[in-house]
Amino acid sequence: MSIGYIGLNHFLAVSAGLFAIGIYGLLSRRNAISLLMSVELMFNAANIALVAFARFGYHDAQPLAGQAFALFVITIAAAEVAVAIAILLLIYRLRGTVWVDEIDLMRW
Amino acid sequence: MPYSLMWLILVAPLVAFALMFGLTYENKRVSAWLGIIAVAVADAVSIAALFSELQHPIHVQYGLGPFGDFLTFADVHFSIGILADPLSAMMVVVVCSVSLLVQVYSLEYMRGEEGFVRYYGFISLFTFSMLLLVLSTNYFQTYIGWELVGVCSYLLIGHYFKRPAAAAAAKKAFIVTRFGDFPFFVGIAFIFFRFHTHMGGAADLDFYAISGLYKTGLVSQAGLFVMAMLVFSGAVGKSAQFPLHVWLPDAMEGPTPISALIHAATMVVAGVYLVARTYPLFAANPSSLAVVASIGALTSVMAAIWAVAQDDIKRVIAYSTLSHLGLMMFGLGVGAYSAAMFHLFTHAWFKALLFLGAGSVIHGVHTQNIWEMGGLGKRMKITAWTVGIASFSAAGIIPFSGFWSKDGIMASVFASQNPVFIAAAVAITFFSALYTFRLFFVVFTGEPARRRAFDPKKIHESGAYITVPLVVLAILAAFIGFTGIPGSKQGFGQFIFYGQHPETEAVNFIAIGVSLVVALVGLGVAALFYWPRFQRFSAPALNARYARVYDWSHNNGYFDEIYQAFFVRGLVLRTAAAASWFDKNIIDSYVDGLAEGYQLASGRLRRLQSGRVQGYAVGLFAGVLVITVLALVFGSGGHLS
Repeated sequence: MSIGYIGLNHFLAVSAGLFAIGIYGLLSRRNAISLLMSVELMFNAANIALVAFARFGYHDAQPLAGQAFALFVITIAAAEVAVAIAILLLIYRLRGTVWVDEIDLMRW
Repeated sequence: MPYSLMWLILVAPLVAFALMFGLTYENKRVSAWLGIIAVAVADAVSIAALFSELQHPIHVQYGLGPFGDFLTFADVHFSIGILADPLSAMMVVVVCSVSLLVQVYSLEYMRGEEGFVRYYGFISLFTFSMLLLVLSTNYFQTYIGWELVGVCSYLLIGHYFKRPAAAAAAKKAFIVTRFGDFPFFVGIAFIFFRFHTHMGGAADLDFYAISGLYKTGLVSQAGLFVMAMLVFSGAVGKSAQFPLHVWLPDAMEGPTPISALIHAATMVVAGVYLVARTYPLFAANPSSLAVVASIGALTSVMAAIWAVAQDDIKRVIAYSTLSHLGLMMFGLGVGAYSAAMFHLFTHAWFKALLFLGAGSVIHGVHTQNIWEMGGLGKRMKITAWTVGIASFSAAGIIPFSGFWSKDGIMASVFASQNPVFIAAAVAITFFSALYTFRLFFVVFTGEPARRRAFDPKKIHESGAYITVPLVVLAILAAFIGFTGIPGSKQGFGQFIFYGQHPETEAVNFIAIGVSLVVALVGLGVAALFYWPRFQRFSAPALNARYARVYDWSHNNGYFDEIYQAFFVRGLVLRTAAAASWFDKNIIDSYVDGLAEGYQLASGRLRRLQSGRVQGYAVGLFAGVLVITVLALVFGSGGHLS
């Protein structure tokens, strides 16, 4: 791989980095909104990987499969966030907090 | 009449039972009449079937709708059906008619009693069960009916279950008969496995198909003997033969109409009916018939002797029932098939009448001790007359029905030329007349003997619901015997018989003469001891003089005590103690230990359920990481394509 040429591995590296940042955010933040944002990062990491694989020619029979998947993921992520925000809003109204370590009613 | 209508006989009482417990439980009048109408319908169909059989005796059997294939798996085929032949037609008429009369009678006898509808409901269930047993086409169906009547008997003996004696008697009846039912079940299994592959298209255990197989040599004589004895065990339990006779006297704790229906006319003759129905099996092995005859004779003689020393009006009749059941078995054993069935037929009427008459007396004086009665003939004329007819019939005095049927059995016993059997038959006849008329004289003649537990002026005849069934039964008990006069061309023996042709035995005038003279002697002895007008001897003085004999007889041969000491305390209680120990220490500790283990583990494990989202996320990612590492190390190096 020559310098200046951007290949598949570059994209995968970006994707992995993004995913790692997402995990870090998910595990370390206490604010539920931050958690949602971290999840969005992870979705996008997956999207980058999908599009990269498609662009660099894997799976010749369905050349646009990766892109198509990415579009689906974006749609579903949007829907999921809408639901999640609605739930969080209700939790905030009922309990006055969005800090996840304080929302622990579902324990033993 | 088309025999295809006979399913109504079964269904009507069952529907009545279901309606009573499901719909009309709160309404006593409607429930009682529902039961009466249902059994009247069944009775009408039964009588039509009987007349149809009388005109043209025929064997018809068919599966009962969908129950014709009650159980079918692999090559096994159990069926529930309806069997119409002279024997079953006779039996259904007996069962339905007595049930009908008893239910009418109970309208007054049980009026205002606690559990009135429960009582009527269980009578309907019993009637259904008994008919299922009687109309059975095979051993399998018979066994279902067999157990159902046992349960109904238990429920009805224990009708006054708040009284400890009644509850105990119900349990005793159920448990003692189980000792016969279990061998019976083993016998059915034995028969099933031996003949299963030879049924030739018929349902398994089918009476008719199997009847031809006993003599084909498929089973050795020893095997046939075992088979017959196992089946006979069931009959011994249900018909209260020695040594399982102990439950029947105690069963008198139930209401008196129940004693008339279940413990005199129908259920207790199921054992006799079973032996008659499976007679080809017994006929194929003469030694099994000898056992039947011996057990029957022994039961009959002992019960007849015990009956003379009883003080409770119902117990006297209960021992009389035992004695007559023994006589029927005796008859079957010596080959008097027709006569035994005829005795079953006549016995049903006169014994139901005796019980219902006793019920009328108890209803009037509120005691069961015969020494507190006496002189009731003047105040309860209908009861006295009808019980008198029943007594003549039961004692076997010409021309009442019991004479003709007992006479047929006597003839066969005399023909057997076995001196022990002949002596037994004479003893049965003598004691039958003695205890029957002792009861009659003590209750209905003279004055109350010991003490007046009641005001004589207040005693009056029972109402019409009680007296009408008594009169109907009295007419039957008086005249039904003429259907079976020995030697007649159109009689009972030409209708119900074993084998291809009726028994064509010449009329045995010696047997008739001996049995009549002995019965009259028994009557005379009873009069000399117990009829105040003719009294010459004192019974208490005789009892005191032969105290040992009297005590033995009064205490039913001490069988209850012997069973209690050796069987209940020695075997049953020890087994129960061992089983209890095993249950408490082995079974329970296993189950408890299992439960405790789970409780401990779950107590620890549930701490994982912290409720913190991020804790779960850590677990999730750690899991993915572990799986990824494992896949990289051990995997086949999967690559993208």
